[in-house]
Amino acid sequence: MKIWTKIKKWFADHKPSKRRIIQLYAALLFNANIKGFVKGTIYTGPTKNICTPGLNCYSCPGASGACPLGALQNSLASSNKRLPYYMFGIILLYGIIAGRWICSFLCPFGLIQELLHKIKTPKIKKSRVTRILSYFKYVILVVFVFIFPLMYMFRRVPLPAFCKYICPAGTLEGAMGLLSNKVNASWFSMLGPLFTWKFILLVSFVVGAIFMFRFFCRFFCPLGALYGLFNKISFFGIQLDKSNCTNCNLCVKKCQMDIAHVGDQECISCGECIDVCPTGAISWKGSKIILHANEINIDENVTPIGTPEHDKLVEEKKKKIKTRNTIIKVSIIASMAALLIGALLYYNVFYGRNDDKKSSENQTEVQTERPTEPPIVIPDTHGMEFELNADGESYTVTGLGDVTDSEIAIPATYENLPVTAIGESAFANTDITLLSIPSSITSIGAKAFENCAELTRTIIPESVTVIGENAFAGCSKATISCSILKADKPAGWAKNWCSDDVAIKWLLPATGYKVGMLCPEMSLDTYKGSSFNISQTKGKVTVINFWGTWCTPCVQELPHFNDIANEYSDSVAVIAIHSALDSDTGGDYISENFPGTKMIIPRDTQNDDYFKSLGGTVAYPMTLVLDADGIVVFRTEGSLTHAQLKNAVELALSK
Amino acid sequence: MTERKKKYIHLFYSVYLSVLIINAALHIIFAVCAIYFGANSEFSREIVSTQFAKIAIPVYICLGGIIVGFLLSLFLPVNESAMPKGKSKKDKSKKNYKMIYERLAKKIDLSQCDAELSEKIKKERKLRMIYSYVCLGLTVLSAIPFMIIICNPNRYDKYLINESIIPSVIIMFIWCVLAFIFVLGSSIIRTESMKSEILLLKEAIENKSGLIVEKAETPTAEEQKKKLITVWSIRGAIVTVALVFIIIGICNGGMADVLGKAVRLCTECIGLG
Repeated sequence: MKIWTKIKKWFADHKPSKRRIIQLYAALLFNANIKGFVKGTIYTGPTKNICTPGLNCYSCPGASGACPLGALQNSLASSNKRLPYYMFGIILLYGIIAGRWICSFLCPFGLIQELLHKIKTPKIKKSRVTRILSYFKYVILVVFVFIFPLMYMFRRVPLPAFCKYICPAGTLEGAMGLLSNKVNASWFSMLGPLFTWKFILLVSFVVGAIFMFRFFCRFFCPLGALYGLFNKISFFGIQLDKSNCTNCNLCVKKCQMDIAHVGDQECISCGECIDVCPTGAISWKGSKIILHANEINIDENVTPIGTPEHDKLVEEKKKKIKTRNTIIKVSIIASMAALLIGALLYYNVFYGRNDDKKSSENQTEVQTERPTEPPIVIPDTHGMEFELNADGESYTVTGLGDVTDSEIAIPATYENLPVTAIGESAFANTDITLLSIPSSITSIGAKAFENCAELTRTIIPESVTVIGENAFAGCSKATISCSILKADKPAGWAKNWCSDDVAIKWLLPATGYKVGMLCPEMSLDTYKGSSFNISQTKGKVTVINFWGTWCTPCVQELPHFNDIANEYSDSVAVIAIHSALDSDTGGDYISENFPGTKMIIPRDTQNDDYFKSLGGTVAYPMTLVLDADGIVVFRTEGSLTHAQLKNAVELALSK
Repeated sequence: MTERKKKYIHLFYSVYLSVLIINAALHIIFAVCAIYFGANSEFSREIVSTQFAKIAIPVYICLGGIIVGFLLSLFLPVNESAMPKGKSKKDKSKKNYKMIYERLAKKIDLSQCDAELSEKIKKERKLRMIYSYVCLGLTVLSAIPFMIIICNPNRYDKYLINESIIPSVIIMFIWCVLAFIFVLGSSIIRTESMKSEILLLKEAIENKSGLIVEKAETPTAEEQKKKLITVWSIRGAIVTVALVFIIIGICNGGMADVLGKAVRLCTECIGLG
């Protein structure tokens, strides 16, 4: 009982403040796509047109909106195409409405830091040094958010430098949020120095946040730096009535941020200082509207103070105000709850229901094998020559014997024992036209069907593990179907089991994007106006790269593909498919940077259907290498070095 | 148990917990480095799982420590109000001299102050201003070459992005260290100067020299109105500009760009590589 009382007391002492509740609410609202965490994908719907006010990575599986900082950098990086009016407008609007109030109430990453700071450890308090260091975020803002993206804009490389090199929200919510799902296990292979650096940085920020209040916000966050510029003129936030201020310094002492005055660029308007101000000089901006509404104004000339009528009127007015305030409170809470429930339902239940169905249908399609060769149906031929094998339990067919038919079917049994082998030169130089081999055969001897010039068709069953040299040499009219995948050819098959003039049809694997599968086809338009299908490159090793002018690693690795296209121009076809996003710029980029390239540059369909059919989710770049038969021999998401690409091509060529 | 004893237990535990946290963080960092600099230098779900399994013990100890810390605050809470009060040396060192200075400066009218004292105060203010401008000037001056270097598009290679960015970041850090030294120097000098002036102001107050008896004047209704109009005009102008920008952005395809980028993953942009 005593423990229960203690726990109750602890909770009473530590019950979340209104600010904390709003923070949690905002974090949940901005990450309402909970389904994304389960499926390991991101939300790709229309609400990502809008930026969330706080720092919340748009690559987070749960993110319901775009990150203002990431979007700003990308807009700046592509400002050679169109000026970033939209993002400037958004930042101005958010800034003027709430300034750094957003940091304390709406930023999910701020919430994470504050919760980490709750861990009971000695804390590093603010000082003159931290106050100076707080200006570092302006350096980050200028250099990483403006200068680097703009400089690379001149080079036609989209570089969101802050996201790429620093942003811990991107590492925590985006990278780790996606990597933690088993579906994206293959993405581990693309991790390298950049991830190592960003992970170390993230751990440092986390540890920093434990020991220092809002470690990242205070010294590194460029979004806070931007919003801070609006603090003094924003509609919401904290204001200081200087005429009532006695410069007692209690507010600055109470504040954990590096403020010099309440409401300056470092103030996140958390409101903690309001209660400590002895003169009530600190208040919420706009609070006068509420305070005025709560004032009880009674005309003293009509009802003088002290009279029972006056008291009655005061009571009535108080009651009215109380009722009105309750109604306002309830309606606000109800509408906020409705918004959250609506968002959760939209993102997790209604959005993408059709897409889910489609993708499961695609999955079934991928797993379906292509029809095998029609079987050869001929009655067993009698009269052939057989020889009992050494084991005494099976036979080998050694010749045609008395048979004069041109269409022959080797029987599966002879004298109630299985026929397991075809002897050396057993049918060589005969006029057979059609041959049926039973599935009891495991071995075909050397030269067994050599120079059967009239043979048109046969199927080698899956059971055959040994084929001798020149077994089908000289069968120039024959089409030999093998009931196995080319990749699964047993080691017992001699290298020269048939001559080059024989047509061989291997069993086709399932269609799909995984290694060993047959790459699906789709007709796409190229920038030159022609139509392109992957079947056009059959007979050559084909490299398929999915890229976009908006994607830094894509643009960086493109020269490797161009090199491969030049180096192996006779044997390798390189197809660089531009994503549907901003696809208009792809052609210009290629003609500007790779004039006369041997690469084929199609653009993907409106919804990136080809990218999706090859297993792409949302991550760019993606590369597949197909062998001459169109079978996938290599597939990766993320960027490639020249050596890695060359190795993959060599592997495909060796098949 | 006395509150002081409880506080010592909490203090000891918090120090212990911070050691555990730093230890766990270092283990995590070393684990990642071990993968990257290891024999294969390749990440995979299996390798990461194996490497992180090795550091499970310090991480679990750290998490356990955090839970114990929570339980400690639950069952052994410190009642700060019951602690004996006294002004420690630490509190004294935390004086905000700027605030004190502003508070005292409001009370003195230099024109009516004792001439000698007034002269000293003016001299102190002048010196402080010079120091501040010198430090500010040095910071800005040192920023110019830094900006010229990093704003040169030719130093950024199209394909060797990391190799181009790293030298720029090094230059940025060098400037930051310089700027930090200048600003810290300025801050120290200004505080010392303020301290001296505070003594002078206190002396003036004690001598009742130039003392303004009335409270610092509050802004008149007209001034307040003027200020309010200015603030609202700025707000109105910014909101208008913001809305116009957003509309232009929607029309010129800027919003579609934001959507397009937000619904696709650039693997490098989130640090995957």
